[in-house]
Amino acid sequence: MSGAGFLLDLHRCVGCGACVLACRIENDRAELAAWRRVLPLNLRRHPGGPTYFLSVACHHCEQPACLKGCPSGAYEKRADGIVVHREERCLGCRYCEMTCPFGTPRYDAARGVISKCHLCAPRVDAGRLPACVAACPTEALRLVTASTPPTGEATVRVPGFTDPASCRPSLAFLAPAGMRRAGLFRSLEEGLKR
Amino acid sequence: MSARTGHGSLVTFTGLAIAGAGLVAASAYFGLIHGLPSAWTMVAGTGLMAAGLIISLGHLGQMRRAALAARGAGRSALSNEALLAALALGAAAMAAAVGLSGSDAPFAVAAAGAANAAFLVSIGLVYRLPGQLTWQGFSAVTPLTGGLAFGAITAQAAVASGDVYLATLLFIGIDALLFSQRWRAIAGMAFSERMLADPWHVRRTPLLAARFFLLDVVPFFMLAGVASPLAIPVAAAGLALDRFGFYALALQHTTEREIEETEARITAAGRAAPG
Repeated sequence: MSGAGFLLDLHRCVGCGACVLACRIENDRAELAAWRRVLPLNLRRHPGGPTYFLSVACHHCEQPACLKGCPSGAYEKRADGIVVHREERCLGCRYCEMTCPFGTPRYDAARGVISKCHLCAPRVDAGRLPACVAACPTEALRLVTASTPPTGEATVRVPGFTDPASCRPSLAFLAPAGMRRAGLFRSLEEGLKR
Repeated sequence: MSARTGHGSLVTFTGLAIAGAGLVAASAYFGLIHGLPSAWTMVAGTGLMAAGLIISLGHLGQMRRAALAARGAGRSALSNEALLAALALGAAAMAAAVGLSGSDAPFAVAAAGAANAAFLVSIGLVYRLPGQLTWQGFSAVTPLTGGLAFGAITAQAAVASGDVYLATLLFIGIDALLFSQRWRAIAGMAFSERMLADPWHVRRTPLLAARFFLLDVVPFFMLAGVASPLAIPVAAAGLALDRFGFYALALQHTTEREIEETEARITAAGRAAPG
């Protein structure tokens, strides 16, 4: 990760959805598709696998597939790493929905344009935290910038999250703590490699 | 997913554009190499392409901003396709006009053929996306091979001279060979829960087989003996199925999909664990 992005502590996230709600309120998306979503993994707690929640939105990738594919130049990567989408340039062709391997861009049929998380750029520019980060009650979701990179314990590889298009997402995870859980985590990763 | 949501318009406009560009490219080949009359097949190809491109505008959420599609030229495969579409349509219209006027203009015909072949290549490149699991490998060349096969069948059958050129059978054979690789790759994919819940994924074998037989096998045998105009509607149905199957069998990687597959593996591992 070289620019702005998110760090998610998988041990702390309890899947409460406060980040999703805060995002909806901040960006006036009560009636529209949410930019952020919380995806539970192994909610039924099957033995042999870890249980955690992935709170994900746009990953503000280092090599964004949406930006590369967009025919009208509606996507821009700012100097601080935030990938923003300029609606006034959007054709509504929905090609970015196909190119993004994380299912991030959302099509607003009523307006005929795509929209996506902009990491609350206006808030960040004003020195504030993104709404989702500020709302997280367990501090599981954190903002990462070039000046505050993730710690050495962070990993970008967790089961349920790969990067098939080599976009290099600016999203890092802190794995669950504890020897037993870490062991399960490793065993699943090894199992998935086979 | 987007490729599935409202894919009717994608099927229609890519189908018409591929049919039109394939017909223009094949007409140019037969006109230049074998001296077959190409003016009316050029006109038909131009009309199909124009119809496809007009319908493609309706696919946009912001039709008035269509001109912005050229901004990503060189970077975006979709921009390259849009620019080549305009170039191919212009070249085809010019070749058709020159042909209808009775003039002999091999340069215009060659330019139309080359531009339309390039346009077919560019369509394939638009869909060469690492996150799209069923559009890998030879899927990227099927717009070119399918378009040329349809164009050759139509150009050949429309003349109905009784002679069948080896090139026509070759175009069909190449398409059959490469499409069979796509078919093989898709048929080899294990079914996930989401795929099993999708009626088209469950019926992927008959869908791909129908396309294979209608665009390649049946026209091949219809033309192998004598050029029959009946091969045209059969190939057109095959091309329509090709485009429908392309989008209906789209399988996009998303975090949600990966989590589902991971959960299935966890469940399977839990069941297999002793005790």
